[in-house]
Amino acid sequence: MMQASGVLEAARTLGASPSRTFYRIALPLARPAIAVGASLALMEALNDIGAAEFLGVRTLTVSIYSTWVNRGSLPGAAQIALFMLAIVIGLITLERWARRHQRYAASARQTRIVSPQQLRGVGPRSLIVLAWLPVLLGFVLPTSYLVIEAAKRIQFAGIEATIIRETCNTLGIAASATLLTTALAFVLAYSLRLARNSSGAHFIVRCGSLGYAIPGTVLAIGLLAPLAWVDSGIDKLAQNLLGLSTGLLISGSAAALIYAYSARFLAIGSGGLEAGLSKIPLSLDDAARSLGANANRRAGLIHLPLSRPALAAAMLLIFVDCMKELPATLLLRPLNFETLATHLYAEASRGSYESGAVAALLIVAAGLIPILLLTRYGSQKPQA
Amino acid sequence: MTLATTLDTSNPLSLQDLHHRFGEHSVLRGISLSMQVGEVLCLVGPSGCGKSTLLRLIAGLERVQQGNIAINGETIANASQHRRPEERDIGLVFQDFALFPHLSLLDNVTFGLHAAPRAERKTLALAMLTRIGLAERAADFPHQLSGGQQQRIALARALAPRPRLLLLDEPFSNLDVRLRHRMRLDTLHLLKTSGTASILVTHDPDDAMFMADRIALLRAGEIVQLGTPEDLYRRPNSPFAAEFFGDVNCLSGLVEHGGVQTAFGKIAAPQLANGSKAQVLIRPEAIKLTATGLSARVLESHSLGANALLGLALEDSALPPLQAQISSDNLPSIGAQVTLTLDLRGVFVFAA
Repeated sequence: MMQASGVLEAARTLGASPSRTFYRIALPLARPAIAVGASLALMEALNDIGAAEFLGVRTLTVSIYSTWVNRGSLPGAAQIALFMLAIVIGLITLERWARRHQRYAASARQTRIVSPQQLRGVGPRSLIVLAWLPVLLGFVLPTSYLVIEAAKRIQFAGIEATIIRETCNTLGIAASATLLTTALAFVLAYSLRLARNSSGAHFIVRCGSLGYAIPGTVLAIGLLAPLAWVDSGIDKLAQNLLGLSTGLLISGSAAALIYAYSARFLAIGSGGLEAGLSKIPLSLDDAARSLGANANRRAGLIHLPLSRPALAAAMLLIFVDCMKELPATLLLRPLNFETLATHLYAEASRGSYESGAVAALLIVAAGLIPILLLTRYGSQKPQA
Repeated sequence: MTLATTLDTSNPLSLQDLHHRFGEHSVLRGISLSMQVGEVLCLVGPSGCGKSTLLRLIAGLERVQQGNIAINGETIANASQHRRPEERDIGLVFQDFALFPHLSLLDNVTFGLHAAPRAERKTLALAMLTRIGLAERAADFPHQLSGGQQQRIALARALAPRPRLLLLDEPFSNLDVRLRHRMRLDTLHLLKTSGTASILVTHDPDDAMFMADRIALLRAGEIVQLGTPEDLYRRPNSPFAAEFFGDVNCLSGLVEHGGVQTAFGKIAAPQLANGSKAQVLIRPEAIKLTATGLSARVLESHSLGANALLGLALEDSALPPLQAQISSDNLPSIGAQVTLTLDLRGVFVFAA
């Protein structure tokens, strides 16, 4: 709630009751923010494959996956993907529209926190329960079940070798993708700064961050054919020049996965780094220029060191997303290459969820560590 | 440092007919000036007059659209060529000092010395820190310093690579009044001993008066007047210049026989045509309390410390009260009758 407390207080002094203030002022002002949140949630829902298939909902994502994997029809999958892309573009337009209006609504901002209001009667207790409900139902309940099942399983069978291999796979590929994505994101964000936010540069960066809105299956279907062309091109070239076959160099290896992760999660990195760089005054760039430092030297000596917190945050967020990415991984992974997420998906498909408990917990743990680190970092005073 | 090494027959900086627009808005309209070796030039004017844009053009942070900028006789920027800021050898001191927060003071000052041999950099930077009296704090970081110390570091950092020209953008505006007075004295000493030609942008006429060898007064993208501080204060060429460098009382009248008739008598206006309207601007300190002269009554009196500001109503006159600035020593009481004469050195006549 980043709303101007002044507006709410003004409504109260004009004789509006708390509920009238909420419906007439707070809710309309929050409408753009609600639209942004809703469109993001819709995009996430579009992207999801695991939960949807597991619960037997035939979503577009599930259809794309089964059309390609079970029926082997890439054109069919591509057609569905195209339709999904249209929906995504609709959602992006909605989100952009909402953000534009959000800026308008935030123009009356005064960053003062609305003074807390003392509730009486049964109100406070029920509100506390209401606030805890999502955490309880969405996190505590499933995680406790996982912990119990995982404990049983480890007691019964110990830690399996496959889990360790899959964890290594997941960590390795997530780490490589994180490094690549963060590097690309820094280049994007820094270029935007060098171009002093010119509209052309903005457009390019926005295009680069579209990947985040595109569902993993759509992205994967879109990548399959081009990567195959590139592979056969490289193969032919190698056979002509060196007389040896390189086979499916990219699409047959984890390189395709890293490519897909980078395309999909670039927006997380570039968004975070743009925000981080924007905290560095432009006069530092000008000062460094007047002292003879060119763009590379400025990046290395000024911007990289000063945006270290933003870099770390971006890397953590990208890493978590890579760890749990499922739809694109299912379609693009090399043969017999399992990550924790695909392992879990396979167990769930077989109906043996309990066997997936350890993998599931590992993913949850990997997601929790960054959240803990970030909240700790966020509560620390930034070093001047 | 010997004078011979810095002496150059050509001007350290010359600007020819610079024009600049932001979209439809014209910010500079034909700026030309040239600087002397070791000169401190102040660009002053109200906000939005184009002084900061001019500074950014000279530094290379903004591209020249029309006109020419030359350093030591060599063109570095015009509409078709643009030397990048990092290749101009022009130092900059910023309003917010722009110190690198993650570098020690020594590293800040060393930053611009990458052209010097590696072994000498530290020595040069330390020598610079010694000159500004902060050598013992070389390992400290910018946030550990006071505002005045930060300003000194910013100056030292800009001067360390021995730039051909130093630009200072409102360098004192982030400092409180007392510190500001000390800092401009220190800064002036440093600039003069380094012999670097400098341009200081300020909106504060006091800073300009204090620091400048010459002042360029800008309004709406044009140089209204260029001259020594004495010129601008004593011989303003327009009401705008007169009012910019100090308060004035404004009287008006018609020109007759080469003079304007005022309550103080006839004031010479040889340059104005007979019968034309004129305005007479009188500096508060040009109104003197004397034994004889024009009668007036003291309406109000405000102490400024050593001086005092009086509000005076002229006898038998419908004119609004006049402001006079006099010494606090023999201050008349409110309501007292006084007699006034004018010191004509603080009286300026312009066409109305």
